[in-house]
Amino acid sequence: MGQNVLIVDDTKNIRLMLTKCLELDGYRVDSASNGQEGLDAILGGQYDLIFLDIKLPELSGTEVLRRMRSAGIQTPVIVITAYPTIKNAVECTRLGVVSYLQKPFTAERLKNLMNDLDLEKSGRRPPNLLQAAEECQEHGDLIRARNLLNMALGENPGSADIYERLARVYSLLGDGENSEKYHRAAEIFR
Amino acid sequence: MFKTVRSKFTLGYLSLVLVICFLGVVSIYTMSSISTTIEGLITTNYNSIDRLNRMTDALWGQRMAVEEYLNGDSVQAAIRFEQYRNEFIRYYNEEEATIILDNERQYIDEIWQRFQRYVSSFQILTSYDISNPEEYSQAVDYHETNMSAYVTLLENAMQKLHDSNETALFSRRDQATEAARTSTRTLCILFPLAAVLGLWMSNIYTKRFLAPIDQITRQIKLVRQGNLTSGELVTSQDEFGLLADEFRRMLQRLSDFEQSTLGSLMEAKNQTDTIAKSINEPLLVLDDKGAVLLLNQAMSQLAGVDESASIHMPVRQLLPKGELADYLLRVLQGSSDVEPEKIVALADNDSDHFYHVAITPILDADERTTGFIVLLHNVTELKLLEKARGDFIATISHEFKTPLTSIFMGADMMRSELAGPMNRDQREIVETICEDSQQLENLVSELLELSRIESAKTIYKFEPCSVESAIRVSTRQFESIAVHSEIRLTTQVPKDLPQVWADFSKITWVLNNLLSNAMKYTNEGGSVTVSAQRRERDILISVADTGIGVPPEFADQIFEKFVQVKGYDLEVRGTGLGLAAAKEIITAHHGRIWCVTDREEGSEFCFTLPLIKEENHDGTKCSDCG
Repeated sequence: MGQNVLIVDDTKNIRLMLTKCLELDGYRVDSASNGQEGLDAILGGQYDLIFLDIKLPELSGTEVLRRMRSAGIQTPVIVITAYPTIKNAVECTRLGVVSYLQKPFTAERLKNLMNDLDLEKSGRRPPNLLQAAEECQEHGDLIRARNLLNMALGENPGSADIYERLARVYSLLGDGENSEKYHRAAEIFR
Repeated sequence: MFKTVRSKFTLGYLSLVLVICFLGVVSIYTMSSISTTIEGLITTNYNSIDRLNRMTDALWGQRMAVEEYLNGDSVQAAIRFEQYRNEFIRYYNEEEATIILDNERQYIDEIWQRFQRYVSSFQILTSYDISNPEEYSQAVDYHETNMSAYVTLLENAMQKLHDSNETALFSRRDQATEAARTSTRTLCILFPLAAVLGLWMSNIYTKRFLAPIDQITRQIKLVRQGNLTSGELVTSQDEFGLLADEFRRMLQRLSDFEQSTLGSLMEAKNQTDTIAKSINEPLLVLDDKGAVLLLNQAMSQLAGVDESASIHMPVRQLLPKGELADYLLRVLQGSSDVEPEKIVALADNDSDHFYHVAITPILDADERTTGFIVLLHNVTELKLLEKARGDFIATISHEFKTPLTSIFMGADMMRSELAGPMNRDQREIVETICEDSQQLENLVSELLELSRIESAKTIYKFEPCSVESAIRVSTRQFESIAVHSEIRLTTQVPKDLPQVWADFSKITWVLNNLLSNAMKYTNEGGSVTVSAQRRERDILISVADTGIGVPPEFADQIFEKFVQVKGYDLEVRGTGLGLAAAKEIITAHHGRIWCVTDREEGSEFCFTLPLIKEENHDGTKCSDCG
């Protein structure tokens, strides 16, 4: 409890709602309304989690992400976007994003996500990885779905079902090569 | 006079009859002249000779009577003499009546005088008394000198007449023989002449009869060869003349008809050409083999060919290889699954132009296709407009997402009462906000899905797909919902289904949509069945439920955008875009989607996906390279 969270979003109401929601859950929340401001805050402060909108004035979310990573800051980032594209999702995956949260989302979904991340952070795993992954996939959060499935695979490396699910997620991410790889693995274990 | 063919025939026969009559008359005349000669011969000369002989006989009887008078019964002898004398006179009179010639008349008169003298001499003899020997010897003496001399003279005279008659007889016989000979000779000449004459005349008449027929025959031959001018024709007044008149009239009508048909044909062709040329949109007319019959300037510019040089050019040579050529060739091959119109993209000077292609088959009287009219309508602007509209919708939808998120979160937080407790009314209000924002979110996501599908066909990633695994992936997502809603979800898929040429994710999306609808409209305890079966050229996939069903009148409409079944005001409702998107997807796969109407209970949605054809293996499927 008492973690520091930074919200970088140009929409006032999103900032407000996110702040309220997280504060009610006991987080300490800072916010920035554009990319440059956000990057400055990231470089100048200590945050446990960053919410980053992709479409930002002055400096895009992806650019902020790239610069902070190149500055050696490995803080977990949850990307928020109203314009999900596969290209962007793949780029964000490479930059080590923990979740690709698509607008619109509910407070409930946000809360579930935070709980999962808290659990992971404290070394425990969410109670039902596969269901959580499926839920994420349904909401278009393919990155988190992939992360959760990888986690599930770590616990149960011989499951054809998990390989098949991973193959699907990769295929939805537009990564045909990995999709094929996991699909073949699923065939082997089946 | 001889105006009819009948009378001409009669005339022909009549001339032959005349020749025969002439021959007959000549023969009869000849025969009668011969018979007259022979008759004359018999009646005059022969009878004369006969009578002369009888007179000779009578004279000889008289001489016998004279002898008997001198040597026997004188009385009897005198009587017999008298009898013979009468006989002689009778024949003499007969003979005398027939005499015509002068020299014969002289002979007969001479005979009469000498006979008179002989008879008188017998009178003198009887004046002698033969009982007196002296007188007897005188009488004998008289008889031997005078009377014998008289007899001899008479006989001479008779002989003369006899000879004359005989001469006449012979001369007449020669005459008759000569006449017979002459007539034989005449007839011998006349018969061949008549035969030749008859032959000649019949020839002439036959020629004259047949001349008009020959002429008409020649004319008909000319007509058959296409020459419709009437030329010189029979002008006679007979039946052939009538026939020729009728024929001439028929020719006239034929010629008129041909001219009018040709005229209207030419007119129609000119009209067609003018219409084609006045159309600014590209127009192409093909025959059933795909050769160009007609194209206008716009089309020749589009194809980059010379207008006149491309006539009769095969269409695959005219058009560059691409979507339009593929489409035309598929129509020409008569593929049954070809849509009647289509929008194709043609690259032209770097930019893409879109054309709406409408192909209309040209049918003949027997409903056979003899060609095609291909009309291209430039819809690039429309397409751009549509794209702008799509982009606008997409942008708006995306822009909705951000405020929706705030509403979602705010309502959620209030509902969870984290920011303080609410009373019942407040909770109801917040619930409503939550519900409708959820509705709004569905709308936004479906709008986005639809515009994504519509915006570009290149989004499709066609590959050989297993229908079975698509169904498996799709149904798995609904298993938990099915259990929760107490709906029996079953699949009936044969194990050996062949693969289809499809985009796996799109097909799964369609299945998800159909299943989601089925689940939505099926009550607890109902069932939803997904089945697939192989057909001749495609695979039929069906999603059937036991829900409220679709009224038949909406079976087609529900595939339109924003159509929902009225009067079925249910709590759960889609946005009305899912089926429209599903139709887009299935159509892009060259499949068909429809709603089965004749069901007693629930609804059934079917769609087809074509089986992989040989042509698909080389990756030239047009929708893929679009």
